[in-house]
Amino acid sequence: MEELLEILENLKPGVDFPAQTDLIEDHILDSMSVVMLVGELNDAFDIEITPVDVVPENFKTVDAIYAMIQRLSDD
Amino acid sequence: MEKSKNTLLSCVVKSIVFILILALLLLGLSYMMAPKDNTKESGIINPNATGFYSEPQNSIDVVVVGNSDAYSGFSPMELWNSFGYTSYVSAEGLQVPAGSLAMLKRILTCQTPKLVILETDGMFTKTDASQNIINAFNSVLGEPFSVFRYHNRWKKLKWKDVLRKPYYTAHCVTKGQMLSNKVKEYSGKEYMIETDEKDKIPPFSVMTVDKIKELCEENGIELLLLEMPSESSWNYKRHNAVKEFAKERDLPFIDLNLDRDRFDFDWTTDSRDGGNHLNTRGARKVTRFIGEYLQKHYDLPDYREDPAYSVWHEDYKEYLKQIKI
Amino acid sequence: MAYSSIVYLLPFLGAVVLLYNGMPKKYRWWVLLLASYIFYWLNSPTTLIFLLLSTAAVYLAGIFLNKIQDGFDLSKKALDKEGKKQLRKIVGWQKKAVCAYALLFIFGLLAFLKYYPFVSENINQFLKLLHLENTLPSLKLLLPLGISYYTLQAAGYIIDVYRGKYRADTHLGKVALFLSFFPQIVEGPIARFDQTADQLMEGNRSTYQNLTWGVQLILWGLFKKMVIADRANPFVAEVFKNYAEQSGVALLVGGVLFTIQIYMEFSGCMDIVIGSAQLFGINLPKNFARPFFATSVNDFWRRWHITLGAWLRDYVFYSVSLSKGFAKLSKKAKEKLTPFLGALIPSAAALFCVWICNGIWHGAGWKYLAYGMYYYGIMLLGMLLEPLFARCAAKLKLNREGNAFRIVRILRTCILVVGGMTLFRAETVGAFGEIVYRIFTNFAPQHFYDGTLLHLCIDGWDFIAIAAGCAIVLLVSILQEKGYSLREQIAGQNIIIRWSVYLALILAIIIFGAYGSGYDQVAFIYGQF
Repeated sequence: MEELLEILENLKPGVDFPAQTDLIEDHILDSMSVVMLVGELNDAFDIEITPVDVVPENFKTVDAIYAMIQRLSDD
Repeated sequence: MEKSKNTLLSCVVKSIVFILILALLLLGLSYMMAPKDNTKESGIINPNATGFYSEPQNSIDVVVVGNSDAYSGFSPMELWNSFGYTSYVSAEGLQVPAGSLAMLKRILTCQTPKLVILETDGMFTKTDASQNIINAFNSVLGEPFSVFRYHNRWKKLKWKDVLRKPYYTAHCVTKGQMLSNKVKEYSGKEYMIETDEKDKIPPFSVMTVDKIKELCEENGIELLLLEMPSESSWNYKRHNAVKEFAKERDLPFIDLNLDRDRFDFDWTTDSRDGGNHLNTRGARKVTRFIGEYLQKHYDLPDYREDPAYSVWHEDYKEYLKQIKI
Repeated sequence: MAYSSIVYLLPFLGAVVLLYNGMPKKYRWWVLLLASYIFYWLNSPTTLIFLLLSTAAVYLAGIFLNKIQDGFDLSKKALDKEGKKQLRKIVGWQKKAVCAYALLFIFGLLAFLKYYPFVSENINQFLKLLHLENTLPSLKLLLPLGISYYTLQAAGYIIDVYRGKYRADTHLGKVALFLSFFPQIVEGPIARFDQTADQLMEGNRSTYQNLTWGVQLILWGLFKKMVIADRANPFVAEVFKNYAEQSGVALLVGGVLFTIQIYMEFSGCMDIVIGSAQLFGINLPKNFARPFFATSVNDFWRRWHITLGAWLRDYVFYSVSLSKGFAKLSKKAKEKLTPFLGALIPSAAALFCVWICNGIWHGAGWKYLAYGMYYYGIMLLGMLLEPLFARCAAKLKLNREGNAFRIVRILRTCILVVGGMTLFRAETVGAFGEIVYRIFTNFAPQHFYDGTLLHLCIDGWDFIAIAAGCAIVLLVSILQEKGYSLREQIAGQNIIIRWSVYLALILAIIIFGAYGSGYDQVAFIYGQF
């Protein structure tokens, strides 16, 4: 979780990520930053996030992103 | 169940009330926005074709409706001078039968013609389903709901015109004919080549001409189908189609594209645009021929000696000046 | 049968609503499917076959993908981890092949019918340069109605099934209706299978609320199209046709008016479309979210033609940028160049594909490619300069979130969009160049007030009507942007106020609509793609 927050902080400095309720709707993560984030996450957690996983539900909140990482690492 | 029935009923009632209010508003707006005269300045559509409004009541015996072929080729002044019949051409560019029907209804508000001549070329004008709906609406409810035709007048509306009644003042010397002294010859091949093939008259046209026929019968008016000479819009297939149509309904049909020697017609001098429309010279020839036909088949009064019609003689003089022949 | 035509709005839509509600719930989808094919046939009888072919192709491909997946699920239980991995690989290839064939087929049809004339002409020109005589035949091809829209829907469906987002549907009627639903077929919105297919099959009765809201939306769309867009059309047509004779002012006004025209027309058409679907209780995805409040070009494309942007994002942008090749490239770039560039490269490359697709989707021609590249250039520049902007703002202590800055950004976006629309409307790229050149060299500001503009096919009253119409739309948009639901507000009023609003809207369309003598019916611009 901390690693994830660190990555997010690097990507968009100054955003209080845990407090956000909808990163997509509030335009904090646009499609560019999602791509950058996916690249970082793939490297950091040794997972493979595919286009199917790139849906708003998986990127809405920090918890949702974390849950997706967990799910993909188990696979 | 009881409740849903109620709501359904109240929905239907509400919808009807809503439509009634809308219709009343449109009627009011139509009255306010309609042109209050038939001059060109008044904003009326096709002032030439609507000049009959300001002719003395019930003074016109022959009315011609149809498209540009009719207002180029029919000369009421010629008919007046040679036969003493009073006629008016209420034709409009691209007028289709539904337009002719609407026009005829307008004419019947102030004139009691004995004969209606329908130029048949407009029957073949292709219209899509939307246009047919609009045309049908206009030929039935077009007068009370004229706002659909005259809505663009919001730009030119004058306050003093809004609430007053229409008062028609225009005086059209040519009685609806459009004069053109231009000559552009047609020197191509003969276009009326005999065949057994038939063009198809669009069903909506058939339906509407039947309505025109009904309206004429109700008012004791004779109906005559006529086709003006026109190289570009007419052919033998269309001739066959109208001939059959007329026969089925027991209507007379004259096709002036056939045996044009009957009236000394000459495509090198009698067209203003190379074979589509007639010029004033062509119109004179054609109209005299039509006049002879009318004399033979109908019992139309000659008003040339009637002092009530003296203004027609003056109009004829003016007409002669304008056609420069 | 345009969506704004009488024959669509009254007899067609009316008959379908009555028939739909007269049928038992189970059979209502049949009414919609039949109506859709009749609508298609009435508009474009000969090209219906292409819609049917594409429908059959994605339906069959979907069934195939299901079979492959089922076979895998069945046999994987018996395998150990290594065996599973092997099998997964094979199955992955099989699925990819099926998906690729289906896509090749439907996009092949689109490519051939839409782009052959353009491509063959350019190849012939190229061959001529090489003094070769073997020229490709020029074929007169009929472009099937709505092919650019339904092909994207079909492709989205098959890719989703391939990616495993949902299983392919075994109901042929459902897939056929999803692809052909008559309100959407001509101009979109481009829907996803999981957005509309179930709703289309449900067959819910038209409720009072659905009917009134649907009719309201249709009227609102007609207002935008007939009062504003069609009134602006003669000026736009004249200025862009004879651009070489116009002053800079006229061209600039022409560009702005065209932007207004296309927005009012396209969003108005979407209102009619979404309203039509709402009559049957079907909610289509929205295509517009007040695009002229966008603060960046990026933001604009999230609010303009939303479903096209979303389609390109999901099926082109993510497909390219998340592919393995780009992941590697990005890693390398990060190590050898800067982290910023490393992160940027996959996005930039994927964006390039997106904008190429966006450009050629709009039409076969260099102009449309240039249109795509115009926006790509702006976005790329924005991405590259973003760090610089941020630093400048920080140094100057500018508040980048403040209202004043927001307005500046909105204006800047509008100017860029007018530029893009001018390119879109210009006859050729060369004409666009000439127009821009004339705006800068032959501006003639006196034409603003000396009446020149009033003699370009429309008069002062027309300008007033356009301005008043735009003001009303702007007011409504501001309220919507602030989160008011105007429809709910109106619905909550008493009957007198409610009916007055509706009557005023209807009368405004009847009186101020640009139709009848002196106005040709204007075809929807977006229906031609």
